[in-house]
Amino acid sequence: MRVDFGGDEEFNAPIDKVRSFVMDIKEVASCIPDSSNFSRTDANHFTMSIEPGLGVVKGSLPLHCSLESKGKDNYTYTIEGKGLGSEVSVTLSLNLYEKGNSTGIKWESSINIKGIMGGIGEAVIRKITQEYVEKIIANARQKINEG
Amino acid sequence: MDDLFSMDVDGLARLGLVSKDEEKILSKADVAAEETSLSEYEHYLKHEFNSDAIATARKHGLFAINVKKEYGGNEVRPLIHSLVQQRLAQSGLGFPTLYDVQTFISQPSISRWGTEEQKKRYLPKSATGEFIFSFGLTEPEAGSDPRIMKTTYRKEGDSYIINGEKYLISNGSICNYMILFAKSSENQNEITAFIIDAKENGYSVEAQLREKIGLFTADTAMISLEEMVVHESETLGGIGNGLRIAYSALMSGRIGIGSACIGVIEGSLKASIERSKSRIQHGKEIGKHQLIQQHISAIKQNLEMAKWPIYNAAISMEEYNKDYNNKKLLLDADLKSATAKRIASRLAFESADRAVQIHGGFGYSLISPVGQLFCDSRVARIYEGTDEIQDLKIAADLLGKEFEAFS
Repeated sequence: MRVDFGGDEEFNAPIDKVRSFVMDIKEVASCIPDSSNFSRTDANHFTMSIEPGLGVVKGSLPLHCSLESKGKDNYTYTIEGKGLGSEVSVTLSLNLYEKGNSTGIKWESSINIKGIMGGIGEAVIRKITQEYVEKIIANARQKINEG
Repeated sequence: MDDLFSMDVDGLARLGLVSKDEEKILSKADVAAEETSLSEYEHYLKHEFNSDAIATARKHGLFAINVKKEYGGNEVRPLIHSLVQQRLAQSGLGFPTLYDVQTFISQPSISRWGTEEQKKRYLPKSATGEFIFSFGLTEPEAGSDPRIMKTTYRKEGDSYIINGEKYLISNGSICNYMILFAKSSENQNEITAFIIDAKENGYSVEAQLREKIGLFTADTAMISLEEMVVHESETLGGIGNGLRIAYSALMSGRIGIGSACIGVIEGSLKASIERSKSRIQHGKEIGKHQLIQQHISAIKQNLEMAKWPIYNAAISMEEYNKDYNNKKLLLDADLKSATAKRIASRLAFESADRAVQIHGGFGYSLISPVGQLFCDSRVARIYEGTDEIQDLKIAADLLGKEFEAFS
């Protein structure tokens, strides 16, 4: 099952500050809800675990994540996980741009899910991932504002 | 808008049966259905009533659509109402069951049979979802034959005293009010409807039925009525008119459940197509195996066979609603709603069964949406009139009253 999302978010901070945040994989990882066991492999790779927000799929899903810069202020996070009878693959593309004294981020994500979680149904998966993404954005906004 | 639902709406719009304004209402239903899908799914797995769905329906104004404008509603046509219910049921019959009782059965009963005072008191707050209704007809020993009900009322001063038991009542433990049917303790042929307050003394929830085959997000309760005092102003439709009210409500309710069955078929079809494209067995997507294609084709045929009779019944209901005294229109709407519900409920169950087959072992699990649809759809062949009662009604309508097998 594939679910695609996108959006345009404004952060009340200069682009340098937002850029630093986006490139700091530990900071970004800390925005992911119900995550644990963060471990940095190198500057652009890390592993972590998440607990999927589904009552039925209990347990921890280990993830391998990477950050790739694709030109000025274009970044892509790739996340892959296998476990709990499921395979998850996420691509998140971020495009930063100046917006007066603030910074805008245009983002697109593509989520592919196979196995048990993939069989749950598009409407349910879409709603779960939408709520997940909203939490990540809210957490990032709070951290950028605090930082 | 959901792809399958959008095709339905576009098709009807091309026939001139859905206007632009009505499309906006259907878009709201589509959003509400999306929003309730997760809570319905999660509550289903916990086997618990989903009150979140009520909040979502309230937010999108869905309880208002079958209420007249003068009482705060949108007053949509039965066809549009049917489409709303259809869309809500793609995730299962849990919330659509509540929605059926509230908007297809209870609101029309009050609209048609209520006094002006009752309409003003109940309809505006039912339209916002502040008041939720249940429909107290079925009893442990009176299902398809309500005439043998044992719940009784007796007159004392300006009130009626009610005693009895109501069984398998959707919304029974969560409702604010119930449309209750009881028999005169003095005259066994006199059945009367009352609007009763579920918070008043004498109304108690004996049990919530959780050990069901499906329908876990819907509330199903057994209600005990003990010396319940109901003021005479809360009789609905006059003394002795109970069965007329019940039958007219069920005629509308059959369209509600039939419409929900179309949603079940669409949910089955969507999940099956997705599964057929993503599941690989024997080196290729299972959708490339011909016997899986046969199931997909059959579910699509079921969808077409189910939806048009329901739409046709909804259109007949619209005509009848304009002229309640026209017996020809009544018989037409009655026959069509019975026939359409009979067809749709059988095909919904068959479609969900085929979808389970396509999903294999995973389908035989409540984790799987099609497993949920399968379990839910079974009840559609029972409530709002069993398959057998629909068959008898259809045959009697065609053969004539003297052939009624259930008289």
